Amino acid sequence: MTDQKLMLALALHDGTGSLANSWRAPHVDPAAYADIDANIRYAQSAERGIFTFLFIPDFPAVRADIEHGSVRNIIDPMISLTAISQATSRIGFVATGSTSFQEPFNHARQFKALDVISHGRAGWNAVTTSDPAVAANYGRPVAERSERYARAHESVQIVQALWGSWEEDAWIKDKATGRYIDSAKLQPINLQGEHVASRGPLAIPPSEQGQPVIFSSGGPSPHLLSLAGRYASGFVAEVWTIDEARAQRQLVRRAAQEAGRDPDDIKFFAGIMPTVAPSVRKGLDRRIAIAGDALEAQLPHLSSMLGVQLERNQLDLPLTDQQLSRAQPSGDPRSGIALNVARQGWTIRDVLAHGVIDFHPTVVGPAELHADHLQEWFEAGAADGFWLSPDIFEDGVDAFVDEVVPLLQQRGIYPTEYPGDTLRENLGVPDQYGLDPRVFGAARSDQQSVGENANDPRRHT
Amino acid sequence: MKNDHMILGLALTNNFGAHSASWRMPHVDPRAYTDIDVTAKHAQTAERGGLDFIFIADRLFLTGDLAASNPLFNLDPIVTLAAVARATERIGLVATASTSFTEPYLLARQLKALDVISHGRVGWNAVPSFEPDAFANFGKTPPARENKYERLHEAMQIVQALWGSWGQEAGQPDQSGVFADPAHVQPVNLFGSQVGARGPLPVPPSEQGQPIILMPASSGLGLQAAAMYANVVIGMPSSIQESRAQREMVRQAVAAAGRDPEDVKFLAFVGFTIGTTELEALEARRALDANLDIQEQLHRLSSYLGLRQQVTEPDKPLSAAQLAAVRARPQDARSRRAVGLAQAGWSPRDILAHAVFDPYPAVVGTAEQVADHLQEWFEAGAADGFMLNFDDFSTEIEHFVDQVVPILRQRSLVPGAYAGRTLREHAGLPPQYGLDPALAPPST
Repeated sequence: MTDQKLMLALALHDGTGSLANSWRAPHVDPAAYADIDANIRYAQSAERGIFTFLFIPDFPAVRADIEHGSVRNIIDPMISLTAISQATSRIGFVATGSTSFQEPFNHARQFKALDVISHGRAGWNAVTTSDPAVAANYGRPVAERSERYARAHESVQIVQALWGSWEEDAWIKDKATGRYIDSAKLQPINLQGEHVASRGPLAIPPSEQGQPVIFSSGGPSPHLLSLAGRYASGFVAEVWTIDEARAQRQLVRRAAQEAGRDPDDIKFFAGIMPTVAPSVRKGLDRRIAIAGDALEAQLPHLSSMLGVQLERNQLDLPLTDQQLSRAQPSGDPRSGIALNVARQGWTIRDVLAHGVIDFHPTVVGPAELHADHLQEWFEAGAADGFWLSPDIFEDGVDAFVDEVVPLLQQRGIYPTEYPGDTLRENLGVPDQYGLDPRVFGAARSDQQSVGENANDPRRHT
Repeated sequence: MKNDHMILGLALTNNFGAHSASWRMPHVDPRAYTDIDVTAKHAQTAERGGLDFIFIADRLFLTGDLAASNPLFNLDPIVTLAAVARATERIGLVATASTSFTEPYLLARQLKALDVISHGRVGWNAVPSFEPDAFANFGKTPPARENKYERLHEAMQIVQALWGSWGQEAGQPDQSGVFADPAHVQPVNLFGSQVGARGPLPVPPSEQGQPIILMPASSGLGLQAAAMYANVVIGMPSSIQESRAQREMVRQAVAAAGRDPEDVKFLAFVGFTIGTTELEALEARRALDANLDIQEQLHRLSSYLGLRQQVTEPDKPLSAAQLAAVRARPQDARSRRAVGLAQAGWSPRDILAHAVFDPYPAVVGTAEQVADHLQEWFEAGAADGFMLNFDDFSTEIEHFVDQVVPILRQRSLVPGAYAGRTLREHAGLPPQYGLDPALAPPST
């Protein structure tokens, strides 16, 4: 699939934006968090820009700074996406759901229900949860890592088996004979793991894409790669540089290959936090106007990233020659970027306004800069696509769609229409129904065990 | 609050209808099971008639004979209603969800998020699971009978406490001030023997504060739980007398739990097939029944009529000898009704078409007859409202809205239009946020 074009995704979370204090921006409704119509506007804008999917990160707990920081999380992934599905027709939906605290039967049911009513546009970002604040909301302790991943393997296998339990040709619905379903093709799965289990079947027929697409996200630990390699068709990454992204993408692709799949069957998405503005200066000013005090608070972090002491009274001055000559990138992967920006002569406030301490690479300025960034990464094999966290949703999505997308199209690296109707088609990943036979062998029968070692082809090699 | 009007809910669980053959009707698309646009259309029709809510029942396992009939339950009640919320503006949205398998934090979050995006229209029909088949889908076995409600109590208290954990006093986000006053967004720290949650839940109040709670009528532990948490109790009484008794029992239990009986509404299940004449209604029902096994139906009817010799001629009214032998089962309203219809000279097929075996009282007749039934029950104090069931949604919801609702309005039994915006207002329920203070445990 070498002719596949670059893909874009939009992260939705608090309804206002990814820039600190975005909820305070004058043109933003501070109550957008609870206003589904706001998220619907952003989704429709992304669909206009032929984005492949909406990505919903999730942190089901209140962070400490709710007083000043807003909620920074969507009100509920499934409720919000289902509502958005009724106002869109092509864009996909990838919601995060933790395997650590939820029952596979519930996950299987809700995700496939969304998949069916959205006509094949749902995906599940299957994660494990290690945060004590989240665990406490489920009244449980955090399990240790190997147990969390063991449960994750069992959960995804049970969910996919439940998805496949209503076979593709089970639905007869013949009025004349009165036969609704061929019962032989809607049978229990009887999967028993150490942590979770389910009998099934699940009474939901295939969607237009068969079943939801599985995603993985996070840092590529061996545990996560084992999960992603077997199940995921998409990988949502946190990477800072082209080299880092290429290395991670290769790890992810190799993990898929080792699980018996084609490496092209898993698509790698790098993050980007764009501010689209007529000029770099105007973009920096926009960010400073909104995030000003939060940027100033990052000063000590920047000092430690560069290994030089930067003073508050220096904020509106560039680094001194002496500071620049002494500065060294630290272990923080962002420090090299920060140093490059500093060497360009920007004031310290402007360096911070470049988003050098954000969660993903930040591009600030005119559309060309954004298109250049995406093209460079894409053509270097650093990503199959990008997930965007715009500074402010209210105008940031439109700006990207209206200004950056046309440039990408002109350069021939971005589609001018959706390749297909389903998320699976638009991702360019193959059909799948039930468990992947390349990973798990032929159809199961009777009571089966599940888990990290179930039907693992590597056991036989 | 005492209601001047009857509350009307529509049981809209699958997209076909309460009759197992409705999917086979010529005008019905058999794929409607998965078609959210069909659900939305039914909900819009109900909203046009000013009905107070739609209701989605649920089962967590396959039930019924899927080879011969559509699935009786919904793809997923909460996901379905999130979609329907976007297609409607005023009608209430009631989802059934078991307390047995979903963590309270997630239940609280999904239901309140749905309440917020629908602007205060959500109700939660909270039920404990007890069926071994449901537990098997979660790799578990049911608790002992006496513990059936243990997890429900913990879940209800945690969910409602989480709902209240973003206090009304936290305020609206103020761009020149704070997003939310952290003094009023506080943990609940409730940990029971089965489930627990720290909280808080970051979902602000909806227009009705939080979802209302519905629970099925029950006795013993179930009645006790409903008396503590329910705003609406739904029963399936077979007669006015039984309904009054059930309603009275609920009201007494509510009072015993320290709450005001006027604050808990009792709804009775009822089913309708409506025609411009009684014969037309019977004909509609006969068309559905034609897909059922008539011998099986006759066998069951014979037993209800108390006949040892089975009725074999579906289209011939009972003979004088048969009529002399019929015996209604005492205490069985359905049996008494079947006997009455036989004595009135209806053929067995027509007796069956009167829906005598439906699990709730059913009227197969004109809009006038349907309205009379509702009025009689309501004015007799048998119910504060009704859970409406229709054989075939694709025709009957419209019939009810266009033919029965105008009569009910004329008789001032229902309002001429929605008076309020929220389900709490539609049902005449008092404000509540968090746990009912009448039940609040003593602070420690």
